[in-house]
Amino acid sequence: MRRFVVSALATGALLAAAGTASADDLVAPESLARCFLKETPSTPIVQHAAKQGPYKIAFSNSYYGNNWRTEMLNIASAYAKQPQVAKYVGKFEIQNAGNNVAQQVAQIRQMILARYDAIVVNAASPSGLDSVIGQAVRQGIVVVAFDNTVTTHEAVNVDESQYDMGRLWAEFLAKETGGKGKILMVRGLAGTTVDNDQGDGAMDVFKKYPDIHTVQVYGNWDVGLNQKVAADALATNHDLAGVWGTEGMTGTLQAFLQVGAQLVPMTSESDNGFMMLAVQHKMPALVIGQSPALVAAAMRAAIAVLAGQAVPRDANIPLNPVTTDEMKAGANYFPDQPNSFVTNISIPQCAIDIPVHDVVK
Amino acid sequence: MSRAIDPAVRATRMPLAARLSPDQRRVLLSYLILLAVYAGCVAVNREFLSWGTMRLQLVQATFIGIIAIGQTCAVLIGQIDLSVPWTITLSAILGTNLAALYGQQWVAFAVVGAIGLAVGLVNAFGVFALRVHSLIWTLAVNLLLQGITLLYSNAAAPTTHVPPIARFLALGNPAGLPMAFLVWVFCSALAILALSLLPFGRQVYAIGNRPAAALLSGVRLGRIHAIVFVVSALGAAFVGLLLSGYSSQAYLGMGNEYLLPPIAAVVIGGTRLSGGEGGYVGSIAGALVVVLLQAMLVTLAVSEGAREVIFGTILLALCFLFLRRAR
Repeated sequence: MRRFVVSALATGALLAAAGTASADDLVAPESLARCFLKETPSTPIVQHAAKQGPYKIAFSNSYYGNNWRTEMLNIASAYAKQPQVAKYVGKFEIQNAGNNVAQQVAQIRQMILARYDAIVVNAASPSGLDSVIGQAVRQGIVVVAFDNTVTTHEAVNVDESQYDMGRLWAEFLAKETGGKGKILMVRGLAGTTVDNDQGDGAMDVFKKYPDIHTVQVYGNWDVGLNQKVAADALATNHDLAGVWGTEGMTGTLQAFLQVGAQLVPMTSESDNGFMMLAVQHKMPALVIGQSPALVAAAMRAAIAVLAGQAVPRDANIPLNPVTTDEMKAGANYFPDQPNSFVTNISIPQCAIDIPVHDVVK
Repeated sequence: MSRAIDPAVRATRMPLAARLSPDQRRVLLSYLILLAVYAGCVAVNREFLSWGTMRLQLVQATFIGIIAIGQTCAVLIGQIDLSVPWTITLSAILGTNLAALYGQQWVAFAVVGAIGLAVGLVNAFGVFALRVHSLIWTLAVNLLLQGITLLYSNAAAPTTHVPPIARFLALGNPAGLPMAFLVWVFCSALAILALSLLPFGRQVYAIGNRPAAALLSGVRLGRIHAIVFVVSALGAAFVGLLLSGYSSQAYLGMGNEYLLPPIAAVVIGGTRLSGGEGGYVGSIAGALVVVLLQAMLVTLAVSEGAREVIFGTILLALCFLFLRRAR
């Protein structure tokens, strides 16, 4: 199968394909366009000749020792079994490599030999898989990377914009604080791309407000460490106006409650515990998070490309911000689930809807 | 264990500390370091003088300190325990889940005991009976425990409920003192007594100094190895329960931050990594030093990279202090 990248000029082919698919279908172009946004206006489009289904799809995962990854793996299995997906998927297999690049390379090589139609990847390294992904693509296999995306242009990358996340959190705090005061930034893991992007998004907003000052600490996206560094920061900063935080913010909020500090507007990724406490204490909060259902979006992108549809080579999935007044028990946070539950298990813009009982098993 | 030193040598050098054994000098050095680090904290930020701030630090030091008990014993017999992180996580997840399932708080303690015993015995079996180096064996056991934890958390719905007793032990404040600290004081007293007064302690030092001689003088090596690794795993499993109370949740990867700080505490506490010399009294100072350093760096207005460089440099410098003194 020949692989070709066409730009916006391919609209003709796109329209022709649209005639064959119904609007609620997994591969309907207008539905795909709502889900997969171009990362930049110049992002190229990936489109292959359509292949006959059902497809054999493999998922090569890297690390799997945290709650987000566990939910992601459960979502992948559940999504593959949903009727509208199952009619395209003849076989679906998951393999975990840990954070071991060599092992992931070996696994993907096995998947190539087993003649899968598409391989979905959460990569252990941004560039370490380049050569094996190239091999797969030359065999006519569609490769879609998500979450930990890859640098090679041979794969489709599906992700959420971490820069926008950081920016939206900062805009929320700027509004809530009236553009002045001391903001505690509880960042993630220093030096990672995700942390840099989120931080850049925030600082691009904060620097527009001369009266906003930031104090930065790093919680490594871990609840316990968040709680510790926030407690330390609280001991020496009594005049915080807001907290810009990412994953693990349940810990930061608990540190506030533990030392009896006055609650201030906070932001967080989709931590169930954080949302429950925010609702309980009526604290202004904005929650946006990397969704574990990204895996389903990546699977959908793979199916769409196999079915001959156009998908941006670097696709951003729309964000779903939730403020405290929009939080609804059982809908976007779950009091009967543990604090550590990652709440954004569905992506409405992508027609990805995963019931809670499929995510926790 | 004091070493025989020629009285003439003793008289000529370090007259002030002349009456102290080398071991006591190392402990003294640990506490001098602690004093210096605390003075540094106060210099950086006056808040370290307040009881509120120090209370938080004592709670953090408790987690590291309790793990350091087992780690001190393991290092004293020339071994190390790297299975701590996932022992913590497994114990926390299994403990909170089963306690919620049976509606009984003591179940969490039973889980701590069972995991401590099982992990400790597996570690001792590999290290002593199979003669695999503890660096390798306990690291492998850590991976094994990670796998078991993932299998379990995939198969069973995690609980929303943390036993109140775990919250009390980690966050309670009876009579204005942090409960966690009281727990640590109690565990420390037991550890120090066991190492200094019981035959167990003498045998631990004997193994660390000369394993062959220890065997010939009737030390039951297998039993001591088993006790040491069980103590270490019990400590880690118990800290898992405390941490689940502290963060009000048990989550995958919650033990990952607790592998190296306790080992750093042991080294700063003056216990030699080659075994046989040192003790838990120093490790207490070591645990406080590690926690205070981390807290001080958080309050410094420098980039995270600079923080890590400072932390690493200070740790290296402290280790070097002890290496230099080793003969």
